[in-house]
Amino acid sequence: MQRFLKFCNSLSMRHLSNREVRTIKALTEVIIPQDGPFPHGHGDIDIISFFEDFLSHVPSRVKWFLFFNLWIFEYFGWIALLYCRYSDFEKEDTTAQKSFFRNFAFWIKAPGFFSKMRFGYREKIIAKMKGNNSFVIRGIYLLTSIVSLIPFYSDKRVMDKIGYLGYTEGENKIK
Amino acid sequence: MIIDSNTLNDNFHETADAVVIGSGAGGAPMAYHLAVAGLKVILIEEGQNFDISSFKRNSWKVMRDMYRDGGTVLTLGTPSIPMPLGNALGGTTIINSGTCFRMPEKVFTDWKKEFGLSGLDYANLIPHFETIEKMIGVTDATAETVGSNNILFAEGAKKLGLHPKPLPRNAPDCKGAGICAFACPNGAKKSMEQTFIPAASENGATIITSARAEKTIIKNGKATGITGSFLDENKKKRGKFQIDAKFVILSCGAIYSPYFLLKNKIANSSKQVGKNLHIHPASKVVGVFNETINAWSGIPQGYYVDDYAGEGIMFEGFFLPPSFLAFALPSYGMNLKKLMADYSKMAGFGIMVTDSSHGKVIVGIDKSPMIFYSLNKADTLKFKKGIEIAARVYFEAGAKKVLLPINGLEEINHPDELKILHETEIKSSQLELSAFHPMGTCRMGDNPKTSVVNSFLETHDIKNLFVADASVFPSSLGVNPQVTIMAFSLWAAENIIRKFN
Repeated sequence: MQRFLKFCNSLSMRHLSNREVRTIKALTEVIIPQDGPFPHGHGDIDIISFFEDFLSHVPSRVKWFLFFNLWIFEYFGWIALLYCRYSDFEKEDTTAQKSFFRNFAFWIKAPGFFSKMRFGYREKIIAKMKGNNSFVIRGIYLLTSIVSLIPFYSDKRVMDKIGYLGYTEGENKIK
Repeated sequence: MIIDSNTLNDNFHETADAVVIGSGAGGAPMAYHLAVAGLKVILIEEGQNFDISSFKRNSWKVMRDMYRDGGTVLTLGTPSIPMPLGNALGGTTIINSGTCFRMPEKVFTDWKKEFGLSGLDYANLIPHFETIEKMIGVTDATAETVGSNNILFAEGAKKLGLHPKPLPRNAPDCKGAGICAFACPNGAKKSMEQTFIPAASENGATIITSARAEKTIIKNGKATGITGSFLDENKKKRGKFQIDAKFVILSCGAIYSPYFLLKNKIANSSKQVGKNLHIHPASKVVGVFNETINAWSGIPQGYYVDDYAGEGIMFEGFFLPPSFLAFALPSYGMNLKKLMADYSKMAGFGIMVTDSSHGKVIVGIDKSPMIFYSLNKADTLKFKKGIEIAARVYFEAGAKKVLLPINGLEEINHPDELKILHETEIKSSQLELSAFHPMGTCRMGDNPKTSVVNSFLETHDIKNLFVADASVFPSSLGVNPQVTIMAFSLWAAENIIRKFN
């Protein structure tokens, strides 16, 4: 166990690999689309630098957990689509049954890496993860989305666009 | 004297009358009271003593540096709940909303009935409440100081026959920066590093930051000191220290105090350490209005509604800067972007539940704390009711739509649509929750078989080892706990002084 923990710790010391960078980019494309009501998106914000800055400030176990999350997204994201047992469905619930088989068929057809999936599939996986009953899957979504959303909505251009002027030093907002 | 451990040598060895671990709502008043009584006190804090102005009002940097694990603490269970905890001089008080309630007398009476608490009555706490309220400058928020999310909620609540009230807060010189939870940029919030810690220091206490306590030294069934490690800027261990003391006081909060005891394998003959975790799970409802209301300007948590407090549902103001609100909204992708385009038209209000659910804290396989907590059906129903009431209030106030914290039922455009809450079963896994008040993991009581500490907050198993934080509360308080933690801490300090003399 000690050797395993040491191995995990050594993993957490490193920087983001190319594969992890691709996974993060694939994730943020879905979480922060480029078009929409204001003309800024994932392409305008350097989320990778933000992610690396975050990693340099958190304890190694948090780093390890984030790397692990990215790994899960990349190789096992599709599990979110299958996280339910066929026997859980009510007999009358044919829609859920069909959906289960559709997801299963998707998995057989496209079990590939998250960063190489088409946008639609990635979107479907994120949707499933976000609303998932499993605390593991939902937890993975929560942690990964926080490091994607915060840099985007902390960007001055985005804050200006949505009307957040924040607070300037010495200002007294109390009338 | 406040000392950064990086200025101290390795293998630092010191002797004191009392060593306090943690500088939050439990540790700081304890160190202050003991120091005023003339004891030689050393307070150990794992976090750093930050200069708030260096953050330049950047909420993200505050979260990264001042929140434990960069704000990524999560409970494991259904649902997973983010639980922000402070990790800086001042503990969580530096990043809380500044709400200051005394504990309800009824809750204390229930504790007394169930757990005995001999020698302690509610009347014993009242002088401590008064001292604390004076020290941290508790005053009611006013209509001029609160964010418009509070004003709108109050308008809607009155229309529904509810009774909104201003929250008592510890920010008497508030300038309405609206980012209380990200360390007040004006220093207007009188958190521990602004009040009890400098006062303790003036009275001779030594405060050492960036130092992590790891072990309690026990001799003949008595705690006689602690050992630990100094941490560098990257929180890596740098050197060792030992402090010998007559009294050891654990004030690391309801997650890290039990973790410390469990890791040391002490004070757990009752097998209650780490169990009975209550967290005041909370959620929020966001109303979207037609006009710009700029809820980000002014105090986000300024008003409350306690008409349903008897049922365990409390409503308190809530609002966040865009980067954090985006994370808290029940959406993602294009839909989230569309919602966030209306950020300046949004107003939020929180729902906090007095939880009957309970979880536990254990030492995980990587030797760090793991928190397990699942919401039970009764608490899920409280949320369902609370969410419905808060949504109705915002519709009464003129909201065009209301965003609910329920997966699968994210948006309601008319109050009539709320009947769906009655027609469908809402599962706990669908709720988007967060939690800010862990409690109960080293509960107090007279019986050593069912509790960890006695009513003087001394552990049943080890003499002179005290626990002074929210972990000693046997059940959920129902109100924000910081003032109650401070009052219990002063109560325990009083008894330590008596014992010392």
